[in-house]
Amino acid sequence: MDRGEHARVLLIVEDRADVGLAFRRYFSRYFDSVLLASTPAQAESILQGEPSPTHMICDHWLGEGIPVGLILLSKWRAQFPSLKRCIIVSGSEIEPLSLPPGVDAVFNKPADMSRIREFLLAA
Amino acid sequence: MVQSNPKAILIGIGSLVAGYLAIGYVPAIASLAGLRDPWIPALFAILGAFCSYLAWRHQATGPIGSTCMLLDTALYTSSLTLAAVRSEYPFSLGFSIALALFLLAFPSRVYSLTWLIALATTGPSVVITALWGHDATVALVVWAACSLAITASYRTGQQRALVQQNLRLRNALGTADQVAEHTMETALAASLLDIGHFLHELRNLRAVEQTNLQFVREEGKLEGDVLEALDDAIAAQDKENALISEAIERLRRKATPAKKSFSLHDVLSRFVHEQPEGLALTLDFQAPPFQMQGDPRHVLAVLSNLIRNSQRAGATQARIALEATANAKAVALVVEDNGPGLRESQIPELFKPFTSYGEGLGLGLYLTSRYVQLLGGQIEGENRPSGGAVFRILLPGKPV
Repeated sequence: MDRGEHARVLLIVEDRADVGLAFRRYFSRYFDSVLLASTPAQAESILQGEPSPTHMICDHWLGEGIPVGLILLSKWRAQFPSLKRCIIVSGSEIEPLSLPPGVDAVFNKPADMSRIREFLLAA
Repeated sequence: MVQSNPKAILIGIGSLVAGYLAIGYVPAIASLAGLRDPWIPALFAILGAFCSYLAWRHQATGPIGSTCMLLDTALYTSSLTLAAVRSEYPFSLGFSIALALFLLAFPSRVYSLTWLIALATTGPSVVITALWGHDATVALVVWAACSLAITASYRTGQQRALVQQNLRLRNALGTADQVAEHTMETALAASLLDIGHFLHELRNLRAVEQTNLQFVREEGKLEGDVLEALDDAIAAQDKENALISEAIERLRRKATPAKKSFSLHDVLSRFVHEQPEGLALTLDFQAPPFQMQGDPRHVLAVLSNLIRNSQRAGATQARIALEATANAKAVALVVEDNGPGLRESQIPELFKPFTSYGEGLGLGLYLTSRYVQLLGGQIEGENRPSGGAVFRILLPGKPV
């Protein structure tokens, strides 16, 4: 894969280690780099570093007292222009009537991973 | 009389006075009735009418209203008793029967028995009959009427006490109902939490399984029976997912049995119309009439919770608005107030259960968000730039 300017870097924000590891294993085959963060703070640290993530998968419910994925994604998309496609993959059933700006799609777990992959790689 | 109004007073007392004057001054009748000085009972009746009018003006309350309420009865009974003792049989008997009918029809049915009421309704008649009465039959009728009036008035008092007891009992039952409802809400919230956590865990575990199975499948290194076994496992998992989704859907349908079509405009108008005083509430329709599916009581519950929160927070004004959105199949229901607004730290956790920032269990906004979910909508809350809190609820449906 091209590892120059067009490198595809996926950031997965998921508080559950088993889900995060399964996602990373799966997407490693399709992205140049797959990074894993279990908290919003870790995710922000990765977003500010190199390589800049181009795609993002974020869980919706990240734990007690933590803003939900829809709010975080919306904020990060505005802050980090390198992000081309951002989606929510949620264990809680959410079907928003309108997606907040910056959120491209919402998938509910368990989702067909090939659909998620195709959606991400389309951008 | 408490139940009087100027028109009734004018008609009733006008007829009585006219009757006195006719009986006293029309020669053919006057010779039979023998009513002496008919202007005296007429004057008492007119004074009674004046007192009735004053009592009506003061709604029978306060020093003037209460005094006039007692005086008018005393003056009317005096008027009829005077007519009875100052006329000849059979007119004297007629007036005493009229007095009896008056006593039994009005004061004893309206007033509970007290010393003052007893004195005002029966005192003048008893005294007048004792001092000036000359006919034993008249005296008998008047005193019997007075006794019956006191008995009836006593019963009126008893009935009033029963009604009040009933009212207190109903209030107590209402309070018990509220406590029961509150307990059920708490139990419901706890059950929903349990089910929610279970489903969340289940979905995550299914996601791990599915992702890993698809990873192995897409590796492309398997063949023959091994590949077939993996495909069977993936297919079985798909069926399992479908079964779980179906079960969740069934549960959801059971949780929302009363789905029907209703007009959001009608529900909002009804809510604003039924609101008690204490908060200036305005309704602003900025979207065309909107029809939605679900239980209208859920919309009312959402509004009740939000408005109650506004009142508790000290807001004096609130506005409910219905606004169109970019999505033709959704409408925005906005509820905003002029209260102190939400704490910044509160905003990310607004709809989480058991997060109370004041009195209460912290379930109000959680249940509000559940009701919104049952309606297929979504809710968010924030502070208005000009002060106060604003909740924006997106609801699905269609314009009419």
